[in-house]
Amino acid sequence: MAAETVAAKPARRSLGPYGILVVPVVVIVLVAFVVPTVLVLIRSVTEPELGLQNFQWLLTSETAVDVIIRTFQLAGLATLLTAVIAYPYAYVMATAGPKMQAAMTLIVLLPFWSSMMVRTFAWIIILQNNGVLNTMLSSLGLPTIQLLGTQTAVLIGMVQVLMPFMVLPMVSVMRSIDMRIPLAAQTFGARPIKAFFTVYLPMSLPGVLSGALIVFILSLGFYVVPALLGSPRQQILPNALFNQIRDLNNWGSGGALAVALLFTVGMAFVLVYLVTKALGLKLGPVGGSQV
Amino acid sequence: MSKKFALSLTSAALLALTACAQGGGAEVDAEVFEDPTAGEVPADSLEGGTLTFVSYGGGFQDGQAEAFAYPFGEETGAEVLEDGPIDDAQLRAQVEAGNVSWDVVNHSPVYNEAYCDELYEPLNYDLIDLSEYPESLPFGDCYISSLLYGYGITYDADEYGEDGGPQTWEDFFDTENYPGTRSVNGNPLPTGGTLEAALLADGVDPGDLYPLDIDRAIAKWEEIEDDLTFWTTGAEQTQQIQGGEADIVFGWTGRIYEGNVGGANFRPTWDANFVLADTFAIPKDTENLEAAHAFINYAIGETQQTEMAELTSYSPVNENSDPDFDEDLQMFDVSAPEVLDESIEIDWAYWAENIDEITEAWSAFIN
Repeated sequence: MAAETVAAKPARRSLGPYGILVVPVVVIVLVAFVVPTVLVLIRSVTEPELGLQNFQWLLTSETAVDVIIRTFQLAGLATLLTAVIAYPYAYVMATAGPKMQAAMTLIVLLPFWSSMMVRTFAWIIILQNNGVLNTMLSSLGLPTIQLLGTQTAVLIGMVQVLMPFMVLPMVSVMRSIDMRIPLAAQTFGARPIKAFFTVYLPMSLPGVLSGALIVFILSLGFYVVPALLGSPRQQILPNALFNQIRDLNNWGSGGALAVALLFTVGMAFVLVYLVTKALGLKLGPVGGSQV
Repeated sequence: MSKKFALSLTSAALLALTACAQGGGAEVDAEVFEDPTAGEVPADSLEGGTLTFVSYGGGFQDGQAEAFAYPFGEETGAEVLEDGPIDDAQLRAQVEAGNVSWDVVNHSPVYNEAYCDELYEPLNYDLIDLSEYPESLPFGDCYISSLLYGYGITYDADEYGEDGGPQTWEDFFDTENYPGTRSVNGNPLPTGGTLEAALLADGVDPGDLYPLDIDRAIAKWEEIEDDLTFWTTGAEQTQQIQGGEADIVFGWTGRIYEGNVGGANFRPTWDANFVLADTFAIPKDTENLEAAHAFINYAIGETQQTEMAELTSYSPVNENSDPDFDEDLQMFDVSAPEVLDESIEIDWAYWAENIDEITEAWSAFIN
């Protein structure tokens, strides 16, 4: 989603003769996304028989409801954590010189460029009971902690890779903030803290919101990280969906879970749209599209 | 590029595509496979055909391929292809689309039983020689065992001593006398034996297990809930015993052995162990039905099974096979008669019929 579709309404323009160039993309989206999605939707109301039994299961099975709530909580927590860690980083990055900025971009993108599997297995080696972290703790005479198989481990693994999706939209909005404006607030007697919270923070909010939107949506779809660092006790939607289809051959209930996931993502978009509208904000670039 | 050349290129590509779509449906004389002897197949009987064998992948599948899949190709002249891992969802997609590209799969009895005649062909036992196949091993309308392994208690000998770990299912559920973290199957559909273990520990007589009292089994599991951690794959069992995540694992012997090779020191106990089998099955509507039977008949031969066992560390399904296991592996060999005879047989038909109920109960428990 580009920034313009949410905020400013550009004048209608004809695509002209180059319109043909979008055909491959449209075909790929149709064949690889729209058709399978529709098929999943159909299966969710036709398997094992025509009816809404899969959605009834979804809303009445304690397990399914737990999974949905937990997925929301995890995504929300991951988004919050990422935002809190990313904001100061993005601030320093936006106000730094060009060389420093390049170095900081590199650092935040490094985990993103490394293989998902390698990165996640590295976390296992670090977090497991006799892993790097606990060996270090016990050699310092400190008590060891159980991390692997907990939600904390899942969050660590997620936040690390989600960081660029939060930092980059924040930076691009922050860079457009004229630093003389918070300075002007100080000139009028506001203390630096107050100037930051009443002037700078609101101006940087569109970047935070667009970062949060993309991070939240990505969080809903994590599969490998929870599967390897978490425990089946804290199953979330994508893993539950995989189990239903792959292990249990229940394409109907798998479809219902997929619909729930899709619906959730849609709701996230609507929510952010309403919030930005209510606050009269323009959304920053989503998904680090400035890079 | 001239138009003519482009045209010929397109038709060549189309031709190649149709060839692919048709798979290896080479004309075979089915009669040559009648009256089979395990481990043998008529020479050059599948010249020009192809056959696709699908298993769980990794070094395990490499061992199977080397022991019987490639030799089968060399003897019959068929081109043997491999794919993996076996995945019922993918197989179902193939069957529904009427384009089945798998011919023989290595899978698990509960799925073959549950989807018999739906995703799997009922086997024609006239084409498979079972004279060297131990009677006590699982086999059904749609599957026969392909290898054996144990599913039961294994414990950390460094922690409990060589013989000091839990020896029975009562011990396993006795967290006072045997403190420690137990790792168990965390999949929504647990391995067959998971509920049986709890019932045996709760005093149910082995002869009265079926139909399973699912609620009673879950209640027994809930008693030790705080001492449990979970694995969902074989690789995770290996990782957990190496990483110190568990003191006792209710798991698959092959994976525990792998962990021992990697430095762990876990022991199995046979008083509380189920002998389980992977299976050979044939996907529904394969074009190579006779050849697939011939493949299975060949794979369960004495030399093939011996070699498979030595390459994969799993136990053979041919009673004449005598693989050369080293001492560390000998410990995990479930094909020894004293192990096989003690093992409690799992009612796969019951599991297959009650998949939904078991899944619902077990997922609610782990969630």
